[in-house]
Amino acid sequence: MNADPKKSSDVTNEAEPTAAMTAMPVWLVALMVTLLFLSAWYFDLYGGWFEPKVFSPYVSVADVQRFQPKTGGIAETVARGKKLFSDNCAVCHMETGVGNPANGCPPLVDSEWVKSPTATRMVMLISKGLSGPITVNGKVWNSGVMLAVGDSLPGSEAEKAEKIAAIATYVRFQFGKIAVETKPAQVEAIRASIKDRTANFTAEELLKAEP
Amino acid sequence: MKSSNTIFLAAFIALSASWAGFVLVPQIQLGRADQAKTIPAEDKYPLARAGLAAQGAEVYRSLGCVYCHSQQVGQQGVKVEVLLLDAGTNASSTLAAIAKVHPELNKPETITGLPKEIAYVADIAASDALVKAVTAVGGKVEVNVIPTGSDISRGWGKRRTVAQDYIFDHVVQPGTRRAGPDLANVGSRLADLNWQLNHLYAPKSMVKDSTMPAYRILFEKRKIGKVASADALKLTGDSAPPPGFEIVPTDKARELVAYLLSLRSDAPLFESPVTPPPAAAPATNTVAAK
Repeated sequence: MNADPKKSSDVTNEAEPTAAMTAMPVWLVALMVTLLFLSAWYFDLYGGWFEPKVFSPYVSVADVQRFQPKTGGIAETVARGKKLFSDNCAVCHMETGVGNPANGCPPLVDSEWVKSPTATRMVMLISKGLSGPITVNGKVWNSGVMLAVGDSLPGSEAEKAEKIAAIATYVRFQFGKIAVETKPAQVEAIRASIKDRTANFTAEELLKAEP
Repeated sequence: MKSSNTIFLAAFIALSASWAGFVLVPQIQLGRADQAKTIPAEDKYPLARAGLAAQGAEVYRSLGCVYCHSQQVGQQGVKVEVLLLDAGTNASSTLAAIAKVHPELNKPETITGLPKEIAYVADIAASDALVKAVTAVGGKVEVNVIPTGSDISRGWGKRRTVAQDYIFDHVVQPGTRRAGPDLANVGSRLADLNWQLNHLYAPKSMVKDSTMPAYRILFEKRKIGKVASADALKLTGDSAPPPGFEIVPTDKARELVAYLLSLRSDAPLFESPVTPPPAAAPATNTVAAK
């Protein structure tokens, strides 16, 4: 061991450690205050103040609120159509649109009748009802009759058209995955062309109206 | 130990502060969370898993799927798209109104071939001026809120996942690693029962470069009896069984697939708005109906 005598004497000359209290350095206090300030500032900007409904990238409830779908347009029509569907259609077609084989009621979910390019035949069908055989998703349904639900809705002709439009919009949106709004004016035009009819439609007549 | 009281107090404060932050505050925030309503259809969300899907959650857990698959979709930002649906009766004044806000769109193509996107901006306030200007002259617009982010551009979801998505998960399995793709929306991305079964039996037969191990333990290889099973997998190539044999999914495979098909975190909620809303969930459970 060739220890440098000078170095070893340096070590021994070092002060003994003590356990006494010493004042915290001022720079450390300043650093902590700065960090605390910056973190509080960041939290205020992006933290959402512990709101359970606020997730990034939104920063406040007001911010999330601004991005909500505007009332009016398809959102509102779908919500209204859902209520009308529950009141008038769900008793046979079920809330989930799966139909009810027990009373001869075909399903709406993914049905080619629901997915038709325009709502023309759906409006005709809702207005005047349907009897006779109808093929839905490759299966023939022949035991049930659909009543003229549209004609028996309460209200004036304009109100009926508005309600049928909402139901058609909801059914196409929910069960056909088609996000296109059916307009009351469109429904009124279709209903005007079939207003003298009293009998139910048949599937062939509907297909002729809208292939 | 003359300062033992101080040490105890300091440790107590430190531990209770973290307990308050990680347990107490989240419990106060979300502990009583219940079904919420989707927007705009006002369906209840989420629905509790039942039957096969509930058992499948346990199979998912026991097989350790969570070690390679996450169930959480991230979102970095949000964009607002303004679609011009109808230029109105006076198309030239509509074009002028658009051009006032976006001069670069001052050309006749802007108002032909509708619906057409006329703005794609980061803030909804920026789209408001345009919407106001166009509707004032009789034009019709649609405003779509589109979440953005790397997970969303991979097609793993339409929006970020939020606490509401997990309230009926008794063991929440959001995952920590992504050796495989995220599964938060696998039920809407890959809704085909047979695809899922074939993929579990032989992943490479469905996804060429898959690194997922084959879960053959979930299937039974057996001799074809008098009549071949209707449930037997239709397999070709390397994964096909030898002649005279068939591969039939066990109950566990059916449960796991029912669970996978039930994974859909895409209902539009208040806390994560997205328009147009994704198509509604299929009302029939194809697995249960089988």
